[in-house]
Amino acid sequence: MEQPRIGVYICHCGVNIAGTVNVREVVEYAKNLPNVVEAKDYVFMCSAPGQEIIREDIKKCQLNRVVVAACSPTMHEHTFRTVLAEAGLNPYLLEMANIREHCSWVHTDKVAATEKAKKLVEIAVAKASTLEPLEEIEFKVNENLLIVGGGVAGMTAALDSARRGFRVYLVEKKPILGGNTARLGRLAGTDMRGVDVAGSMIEYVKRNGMITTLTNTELVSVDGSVGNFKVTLLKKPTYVNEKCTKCGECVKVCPVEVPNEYEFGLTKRKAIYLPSPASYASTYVIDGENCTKCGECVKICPVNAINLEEESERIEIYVGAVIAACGYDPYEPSVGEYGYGLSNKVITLFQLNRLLDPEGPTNGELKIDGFVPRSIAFIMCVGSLNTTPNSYPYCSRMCCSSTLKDILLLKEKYPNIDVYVIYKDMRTYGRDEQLYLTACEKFVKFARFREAPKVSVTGESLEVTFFEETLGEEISIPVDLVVLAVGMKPPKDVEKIRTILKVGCGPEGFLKEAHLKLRPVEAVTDGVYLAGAVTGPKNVVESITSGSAAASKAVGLLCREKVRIEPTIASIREELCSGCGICVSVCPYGAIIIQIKENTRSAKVEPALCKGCGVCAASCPSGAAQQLKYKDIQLKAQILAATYKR
Amino acid sequence: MSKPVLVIGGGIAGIQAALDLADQGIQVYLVEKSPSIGGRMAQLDKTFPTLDCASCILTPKMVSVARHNNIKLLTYSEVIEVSGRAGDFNVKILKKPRYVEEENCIGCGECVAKCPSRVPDEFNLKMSNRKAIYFPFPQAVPLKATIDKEHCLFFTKGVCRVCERFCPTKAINFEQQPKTIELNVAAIIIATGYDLIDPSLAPLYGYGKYQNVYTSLEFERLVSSTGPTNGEIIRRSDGKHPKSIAFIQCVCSRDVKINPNCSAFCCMASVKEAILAKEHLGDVDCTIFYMDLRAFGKGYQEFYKRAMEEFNIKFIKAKPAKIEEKPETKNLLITYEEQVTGVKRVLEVDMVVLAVGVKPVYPEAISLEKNEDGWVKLRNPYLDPVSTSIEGVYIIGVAAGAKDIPDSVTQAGAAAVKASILAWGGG
Amino acid sequence: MKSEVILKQPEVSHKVLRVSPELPSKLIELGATKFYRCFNCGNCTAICPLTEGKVSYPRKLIRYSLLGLEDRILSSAEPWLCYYCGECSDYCPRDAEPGSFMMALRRYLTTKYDWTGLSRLLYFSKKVEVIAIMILAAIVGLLIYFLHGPIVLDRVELETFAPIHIVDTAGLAVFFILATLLITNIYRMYRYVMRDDQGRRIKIPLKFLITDFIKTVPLHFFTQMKFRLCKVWNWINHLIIVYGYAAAFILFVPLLRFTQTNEPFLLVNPLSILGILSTIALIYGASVAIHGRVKKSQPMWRYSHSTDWMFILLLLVTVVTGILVGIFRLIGLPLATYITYSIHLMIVAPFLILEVPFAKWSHLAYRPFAIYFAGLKERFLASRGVMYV
Repeated sequence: MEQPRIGVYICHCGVNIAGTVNVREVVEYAKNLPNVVEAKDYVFMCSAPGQEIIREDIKKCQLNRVVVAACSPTMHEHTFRTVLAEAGLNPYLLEMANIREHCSWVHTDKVAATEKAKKLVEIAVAKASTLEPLEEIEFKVNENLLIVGGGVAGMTAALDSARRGFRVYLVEKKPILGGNTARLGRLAGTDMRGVDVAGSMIEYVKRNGMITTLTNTELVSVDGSVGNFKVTLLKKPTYVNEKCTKCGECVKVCPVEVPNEYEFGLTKRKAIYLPSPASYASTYVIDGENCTKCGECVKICPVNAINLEEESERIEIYVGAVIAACGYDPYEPSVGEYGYGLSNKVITLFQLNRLLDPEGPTNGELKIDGFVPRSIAFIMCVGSLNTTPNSYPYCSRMCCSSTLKDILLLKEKYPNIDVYVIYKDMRTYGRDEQLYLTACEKFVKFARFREAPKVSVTGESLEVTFFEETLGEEISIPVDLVVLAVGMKPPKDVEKIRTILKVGCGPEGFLKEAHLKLRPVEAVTDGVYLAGAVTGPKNVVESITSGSAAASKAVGLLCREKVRIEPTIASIREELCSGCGICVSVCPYGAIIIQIKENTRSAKVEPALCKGCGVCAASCPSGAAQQLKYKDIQLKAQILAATYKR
Repeated sequence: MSKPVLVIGGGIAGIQAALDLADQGIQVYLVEKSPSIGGRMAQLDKTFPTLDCASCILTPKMVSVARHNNIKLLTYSEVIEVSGRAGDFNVKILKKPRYVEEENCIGCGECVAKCPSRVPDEFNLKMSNRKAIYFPFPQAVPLKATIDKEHCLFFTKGVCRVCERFCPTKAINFEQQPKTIELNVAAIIIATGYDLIDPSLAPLYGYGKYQNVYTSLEFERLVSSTGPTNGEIIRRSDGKHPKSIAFIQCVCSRDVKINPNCSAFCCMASVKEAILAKEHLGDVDCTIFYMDLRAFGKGYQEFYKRAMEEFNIKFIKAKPAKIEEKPETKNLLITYEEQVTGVKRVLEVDMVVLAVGVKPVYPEAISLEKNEDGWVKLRNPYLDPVSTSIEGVYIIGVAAGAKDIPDSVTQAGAAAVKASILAWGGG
Repeated sequence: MKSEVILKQPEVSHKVLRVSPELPSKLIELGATKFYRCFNCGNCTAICPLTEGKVSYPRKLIRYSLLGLEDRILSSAEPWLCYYCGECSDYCPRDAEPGSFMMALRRYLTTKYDWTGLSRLLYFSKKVEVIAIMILAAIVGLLIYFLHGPIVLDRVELETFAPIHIVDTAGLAVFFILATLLITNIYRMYRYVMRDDQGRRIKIPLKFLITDFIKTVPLHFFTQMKFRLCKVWNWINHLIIVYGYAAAFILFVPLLRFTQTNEPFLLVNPLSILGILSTIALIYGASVAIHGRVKKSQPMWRYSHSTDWMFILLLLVTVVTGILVGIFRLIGLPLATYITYSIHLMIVAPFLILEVPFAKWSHLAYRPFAIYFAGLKERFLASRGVMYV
C-alpha cells in the first residue's frame, strides 16, 4: 500500500462545534498525528467554499486519504465523498469524525470536549491510514413501480408515475380503491365530496393502461433492494365476477349480518355487499371472513356471477421502487371514553361525515333516532394530544379544520342547530383560519377545555361538563348530540408492512421519513418511498400532494438506467472460509449462500441483498467474513488509537 | 426527448423542485432574483422540530444545484415576460449585471476586503453592514461577488475602482450590461416565497420605535452563528444579554384588518427560537404569548411539550394589547389579559420578538388569479394541489400558502413530477 | 400545567354553570352586532384604559354572553364601568366590536333591572317605543286641553295659560314617580350584582353601605371622573351635556315659578343667562351626537340603536321647542307661544318618563351606583379570601 497522506478538515459548523470545541487547538493537534500532511478548519466545511478547500488540497498536497471532523456521517458523508470523487480520489478513502453529535452537542465542558474532539480525530486518522479504495456496485434498474395502498395518495402517485411513462402496480387490500377519503363527505373549500375526488381518480386509474390495479390484495413479501425488488402478493377472492349487474338479489337472501365498516358501524351489511355506495363500485363482493358459504346467493344470482370456489392467488412481480401509501385509521374511542358506546348520541366525526353525506345511511339527513338534534357539542382532540389515557401524544392536524367544515355544512342545512365546539387549541393553520372566522359568524360557540370534558349520559339527555379555561369556571352544556373529533392513528397493519418493507417507524407507529424536513417522502431504505398519512396525520390535499411528491422521487429513481449501491457490505475471503454456514443462518436479509466450488464449501455474499449490517462478520469463527470499510484490522487501528496515550 | 422546465425562486422549495426535475433527466432553469440561492431558509438558524441547523441541511442542496449537470442556475435574474401555453412557454429572463464576470470570479473575497463602502446588510436584515461589492453570505451559491450599483463609489461618485485593482482574476467589469435570455420551456414552477408583513401595521407593538423589539426573522439572524453578532443574543440598545425575552404570536396574522390568515409556521418558529435563546443564554426567561399554539405537524406537539417541560418556557394564552418602553432601561412593558382569571397584567422583559405574519411574493411577469385575501387561487386544489389558474404553471412553497419546510419540500416534489409529465409531452 | 396563574377558588360547594342558548341573540338585537366573531384573545381587556386588576371586561363578558351564562352577566357591575372609548373595537383583531357589545349589555341590563317590563318592550320593539311616546304626548295634550288657564291673546301671559300650580304639581308628581321607579330599579340592580360565584347573596353591613355610598355615589354622579381616563374630550363633552341638563332641570322644575312667568323672561330675568347657557350646552351636545352618529366618527357612534336616535330626537325637539317658546315670548306672539309651549310639554313628558327609568337616561343612576356596588362587592369577596395572585 502506498504511504498514506492524510488531510484533516475540521468544521466549526457555525457555533455548533466551535462554541464548545476549541477548533484551532484540534487543528494543531491533528497536524502532529501520523501520516497527516495538512489540517485546516472552516466555518461550514459542507458549504461550497469549504468543499473547495478540500478539493484544492487533495491536488496541491497530493492527499490520498481525507478525514473530515464535523457532523454525523449520516448527514454529510455523502457530500464529502462526492468532493473526493470530484478531486479524483476514491470516495471511500474518506473517514469522518463526528465531533458534533458525539461531542460538542452533548458536552458543556469546553476543555474536556476539545480533548475528546482531538481523540475522535486521532481515531479517524488511524482508521483513514488503513482505508482501501472500494468500488460502488451498479445494477440495472427495473422500470416498474409498486404502490401499496389505493387511497388518494396512492392513486395520485400511481397516476403521476404512469403519466410519466412507468408501469405501476397499484395494490389495495380492500375490495375497492378510494381509501378513507371516499367516505369523508363534502370537503373543505370546495363543493366536491371525498367520493368525487376519489371517484375521478379511480376513473383515471381505470383508463390508464400503464396502471395494473390489484384490489383485495395483500403484500406478502418484498425481497431485493433498490432498483430490483421481487414482490409477492396475495390476491384474495371476492367470489363475484364482472358479470354482476348489481341487481342486489343476493343481499336479500344472505343470512349473515355484520357491522358495515364503510359506514363506520352506523349500519349493518350482509356478507355479500356493495363495497361502496358510489357508482364506481362495479360489483358486489363477498367478505370471505364472514361468509358461511351457505350458497343462497349463488342460487338466486340471475347471471351466475358468484363462484364460492374461487381461490386466493399468489402473484409475483418485479419492480424497481415501492411507494407505501397505506393511509391511516381513524382513532376509535374505547367504550365509555366521552360516553362513546354508551349512547347512540355520541358519535365520531367520521360517523358524522357519513350522516351528512347524501349517499350515507340517512341520505344526508342528520337524524338520530329519527330526530334532528337541536344542539350539538363537538369535542376536539379525541385520541390526540394525550387528552385521555388511551390517546396519542401528537396532534392529528386535520381535525380542527375538518370539524369546522362539517359544522358549516350542518349550519347550511340546519341553521338553527346550536353548535358548541369544545377545543384545546384551535389549529386552523394557514388559510383555514378563515373557516374559523366563518364558523364564528355562523354563531358557533367555542369553549376551551383544559382537562378532557366529561360527557354524562343519563337516559335521553347528554351533558358535557368541563373547566372552561378562558373563563376559569366549570361549565356544563346540555346537548342532544356529542360529536367526537377523533384523530388519526397508524393503520392496523402498519407493523406488517413496515417489516416487509424494512422501514423504520416512530414511537406511535407512523412510518419514518429519511429526513423529517428535507426528505419527507423517502424512507431510510433506498428505493422505498412514503406517501399520504402513513407518515403522520395529513389532510386530503396534503396527502395528495405527498402522493405526487413520492411519485417524483420514484420516477427519479426509475428513469436512471443504473443504480449504485454502497460497497460497504460484507465480503468473504474464500481461502479462510470453512463453509460452516453460521453466517447464512444469522444473515437477516438472506444475502449469503453456500456455494460449492471444486468440492469446497464456502459462503458467498449477494451484494444486491446485503445491507452491510455486519452480523456475519461478528459471528464468523474464522474471520473470513469481513465488513468492507469496517474490517477487523481497521477497527483494531481505531481501538489502538483510542487507547493510545499521547 | 424532454423539454426544459423553468423554476422561479431559489429558496428551499425551488431548489428541491429543480433537483427532483434534474434527477428525472430534465433540463431545469432555476431563476433567482438575488445574487445567491438559499432563500429564507438560509437566513434561519436551526429548524424545528429536530433542531437541525438550517445551513447544515440546506447548503449541501445548494451545492448540488450548482453542480447538477441538468440545472442551469440563473441568479441575479428576473423573469420579465412569459407567453405561450402549457408545454410551450416562451420566457424572457433579464440577467442583471453583477459588474463581475461570473466565469472569472473565484470567490476569493479580495475585492470585498478592499471595498471602502459600507452598506446595511439585507441578509442580516440591516443589523450589520456589508460592502458595496459583496457575497450575500459566506455559503452563497454561486460564490460570485456582486457590485451593488446604488452604493458603489465608482457608480455614485465616479471614483475608487479599488476592487478592480485588487481582483486577481480581472473579473470586475464596470461596463457589464443587462442581458436578456430567451427560453422555451414546457412548464413553469413558481417558488417565489414570501415577505414579512410590515410590522408597523401593528403600531402598538412599537416595532421600529423601540430598539429592543425584533421581528422573528431578525432574531433568527441574531442567534445564528453567521449573523451580525456571531450568534450572541444581545440587545440593540445596550449590547447586553437579555435576561428575559417575550415572543408574541400572530403579529399581523389572524387579524381581519391586516391579514385574516394564520401564517402556519410562526408558532413553532417561536417555540424553537425560545429554545435557542435558552440554549444560548442559559439564564433567560422565555415567555410565549399565543392564542392557539399551532403545533400541528409531525413531532411538533412533542416539541412544544419539550419546550414547556424540558426548557421551562412559559406559555401565556393572550394577545398582548400593547408594548411600552421604559425610557431609562429600554426594557419593554407588555400589557395583556391573563385568561383564566381575567386579570390584566404587565410583564416587563428585556427583549421582545414579534412573530410577524407573511405575505406572498409573486413574479410580476405572470398574472395569476388570486383569492380575495391576495393569495394565489389554485385551479383544482384537490386533484392538482400545486396548479394555478394557468395550465402548466405550478406554484409551491409559501407563495402557494403559508407553510413550513417539510410541506414546502413535499409540494416541490409534487410540482416537479407534474412539470416532468409536461416536459415529456404527457399530461 | 402551563405557567398561567390560577384563580384560588374559595372553599365553597361547587356550582356548575349551565349554558343557555338564548342570550346571544337578544344582545344582537340590542346592538352587539358582531360580538360572536370574538376568538378570545383578550386584546380588548388589555387595551382598555379602565380595566385593572380583576375588574375585567369586555372579553370575559363576551364569553359569558356567547355561552349564555346569564347569571354571570346579571351579577356584573362591569358593563357600567365602561365609558365606550372604543379602543377595544379599534384594535380588535376579529372586528368583533367589543365596545358596541358593552353598550348592548348596558341596554340589556337596563331591561333586566326594570321590573315593569316596559323597558324590555321599548328596547325590543320600535313600534312600542313610538306608540308609548304618542300615548304619553296625547295624555299631556289632553291634560293641557282640559286644564289650561285663560288664553290671553293681546300679550304673552304664559303663567295664565299654564297655571303654575298645575304645571308644578304635575312636574313634581312625575319627578317622584320617576324617582321611585329608578330607585326600585337600582335596588334590583343591587340584588343582581351582590351575588358571589356560587349565586349566593352577599350581605353587606349597613355601616359600609352608608359610608361607601357617601364616598362614591355623589362624587361619580357629579363628576363622572372615571370617564376622564377613557377619552378626555368625550368626558368634557359629556360633562357639558350633563350640566346643560342639570341647569335645565333646576330652572324648569324647582325654579319653575321663576321661569314660567307672565312677565318677559328672556334677556330680562337674571336666570335667563343660565337658561341660554344650558340651551347652548344641550344644542352642542345633541349636534355632537348627531354628527358623530351620522359620520360614525368614533366607535361609540358606529352602531346606533333605534332608542339612541329616539333619545336624540326627543332631546332636540325639547330644546328647539324650548328655544321657540323663548323667542315667541320675546317677540310677543301669544298664540304661538302657548302652542309651542304645549308641544314642548308634550315632548318633555314622554322624554323624561320613558328615558329616565326605562331607557338610556337611566345610566345617570346606574353608572355611579355600579361603581359603588362594585367596590362593596370587591371588599366583601376580599374579606372572604378570594385573592388574585
